[in-house]
Amino acid sequence: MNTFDKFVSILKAYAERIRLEPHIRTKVRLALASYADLHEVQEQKAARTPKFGFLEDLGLYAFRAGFALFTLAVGAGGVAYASGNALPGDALYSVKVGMVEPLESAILMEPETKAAWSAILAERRLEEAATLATRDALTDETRTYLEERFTYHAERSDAAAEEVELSGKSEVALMARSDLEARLAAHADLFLYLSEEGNTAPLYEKVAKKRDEVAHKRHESEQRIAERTLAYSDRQLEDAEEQTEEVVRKLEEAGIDNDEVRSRILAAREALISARSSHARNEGGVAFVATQAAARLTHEANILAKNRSIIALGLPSVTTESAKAKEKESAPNIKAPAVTRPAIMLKAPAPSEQKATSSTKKDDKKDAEEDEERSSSNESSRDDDASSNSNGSDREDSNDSSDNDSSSDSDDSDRGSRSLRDTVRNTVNSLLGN
Amino acid sequence: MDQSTLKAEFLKAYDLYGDDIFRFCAMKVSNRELAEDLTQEVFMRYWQTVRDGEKLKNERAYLYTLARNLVIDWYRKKKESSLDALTEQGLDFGDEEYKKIVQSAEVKEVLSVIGKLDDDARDALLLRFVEGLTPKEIAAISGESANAVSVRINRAIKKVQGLIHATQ
Repeated sequence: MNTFDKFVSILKAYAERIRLEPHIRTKVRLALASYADLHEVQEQKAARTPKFGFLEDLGLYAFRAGFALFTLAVGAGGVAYASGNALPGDALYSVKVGMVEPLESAILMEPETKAAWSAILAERRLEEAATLATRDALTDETRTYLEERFTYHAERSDAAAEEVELSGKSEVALMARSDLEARLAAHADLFLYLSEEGNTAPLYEKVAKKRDEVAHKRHESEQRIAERTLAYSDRQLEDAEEQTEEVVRKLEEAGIDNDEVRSRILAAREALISARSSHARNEGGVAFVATQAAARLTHEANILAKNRSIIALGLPSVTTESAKAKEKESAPNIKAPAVTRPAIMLKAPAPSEQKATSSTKKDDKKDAEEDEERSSSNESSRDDDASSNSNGSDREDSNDSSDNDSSSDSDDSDRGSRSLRDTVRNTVNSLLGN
Repeated sequence: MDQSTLKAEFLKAYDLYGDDIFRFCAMKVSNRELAEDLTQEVFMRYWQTVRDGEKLKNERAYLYTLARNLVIDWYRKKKESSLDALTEQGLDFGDEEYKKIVQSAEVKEVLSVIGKLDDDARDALLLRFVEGLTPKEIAAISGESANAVSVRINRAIKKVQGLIHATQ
C-alpha cells in the first residue's frame, strides 16, 4: 500500500463513522415528509381546494393526524363527531374537550405538530368565548374557564415551539410561533371589539398579553434566522406572494369583504412589495423578515374572515365609488379592493360613518379612548416608532373636522382611505421593525 | 408524477443519501447540529426542485451541489474556517469507537493534512475518495469540466503526498 492509499483508507474509516444518529435521521425524515405534504407538487396544488395560507396547513397536518386516530378510536361514535361545534354549557362539550381533543392530541408525538395542534386548541377556546359573547351568554365562570384552557394550550404550543427550536429546526419553530401569534392577534382584536357588549375585556387583556409574549419570541427567532439569510430566492418570494394571493382568491370566491380582512391583506401585499425591494438589493435577511410579516398578516386575515360574523355585528359596510377611486389612485402598486369605512382597529374612524352606523354605539370620546389604548398596546408589543404618533395626530384632525362636516360621503371615504393606508403602512413598518 | 409517488421517491433519496450529505456537511462545518440543519435544508430544497417537475440527470450529484452551496453560504456568513477545529479536535460526532479513531495519531495526521489543503482541493478529494463520486459527477457539482476536476484531483494527491512526506 502506498502512502496515499493509506491516507485514503484512514480518511474513509474516519468519515464512515460520521452519520446521522438514528433518532435524528427519523426526525428529519418526518420533517421532510411533512414538508413534502405542505408543499405539494404543482399540478395537484392547482387542482385541490384552495386553502387559507401555509400556516393553516401546518395546523391541518396536525388535525389530519389527530382525526385519523380519532376515527380509529371512536369508530362509529357519532356523538364524538357531533361534539365538534359544542360550546361550554352544551351537553356534548365535555365529550369534545374531555375525549375527542385528548385523543387527537395523543398521537402527536413530534413537537412541531404538538405546537401547531396546541395553537389550534388555544384558538378554539377563544372562538368558543367569542361565539358565546355574541350570544350574550359568556358568564364570568365560563369566561374564567376558557381563559384557563386557552392559557394552558397556548403555553403548550409555546413550549413545543421552544423544543423544536432547541432541536435545531429554527425555521419550523418560527413557523409555529408565527402561527400562534397570528391566531392570538386576530382574536385579541375580536375581543377588543366585543369588549363593550360581550364581557370579553378580561379576555382581551389576557390574549393581548400572550400575543405580545409570543411576538417577542417570534421576533428573536426571526432575527436569528434573518442574520444567516444571505439571499432569498425568487422562488421563495413567489411562493409567499402566491400564498397571499391564494387567500385573496378564496376570500373573493366566498364574497368576504370587510375592512378588517382587507387591511391585513393590504398590509401583507405592502410587506411583499418591501420584500421584493430588499431581495433586489440582495438583502436576504430583510426580505425574509418582510415575507414572514406578510405570511402572518395573511394568516390573520384568514382568521378574521372566518370570524366575519362577529366583525359584521356592528359594522355594516358602506362602499362608495369615490372611495374606490381614491384608494386606487393612492396605491397604484397594490391591487386594492374597494374601500369601505375604516375598520374598528383603524386609528382614524370617519365620524359621519359612526353616526350613520346605528349598531355601533361608541361615541367619539370612547372611540378615541379605545384607539389610544390600542395604539399604546401596539407600541408596547410591536415596537411602533414615531409613525404611531403622527397617526395619532391624524386622528385628532379627523375628529376635529367632524364637527364641521359630518355628512359628506366623499370626504368620509377620503378620510377612510387615508386612514386605511396609514394603518397599513404603520402596521408594515412596525412588523418590519422600521 | 403524482404527489404520493414523488414523495415516496423523495424519501427514498433521503434514505439513500441522507448520511452522505450529512457527512459531507459535517466534515466541512465541524458542528453536528449545524450539519443536521444543513442536511434537512438540502433535502427541502431538493423537494422544491422535484415538485416543480424538474428532471435531474444525477440526483446524488445534485444533492451534493445543494449541500456545497449551502455550506459556502454558511461560510460567507461565518467567515471562519471550522476545519481548524476539525484538525485540532476532530468532530464530536460518534460513539466510543469513533472517539478512539479520532484520538489515533494517524487520524490526527490525516485531518491535519486535509486541513492544509485549499477548499477546492479538499472538496475534490473528499468527493472523489470519501464519497466515491466520479470526476464527471464532481464536475457537475463544481461547474467545471471533468478534465479540470481530474487535474485538480491529481494535484491534490501530489499535494497530500508532499505533506505526508514532509511530516515523516
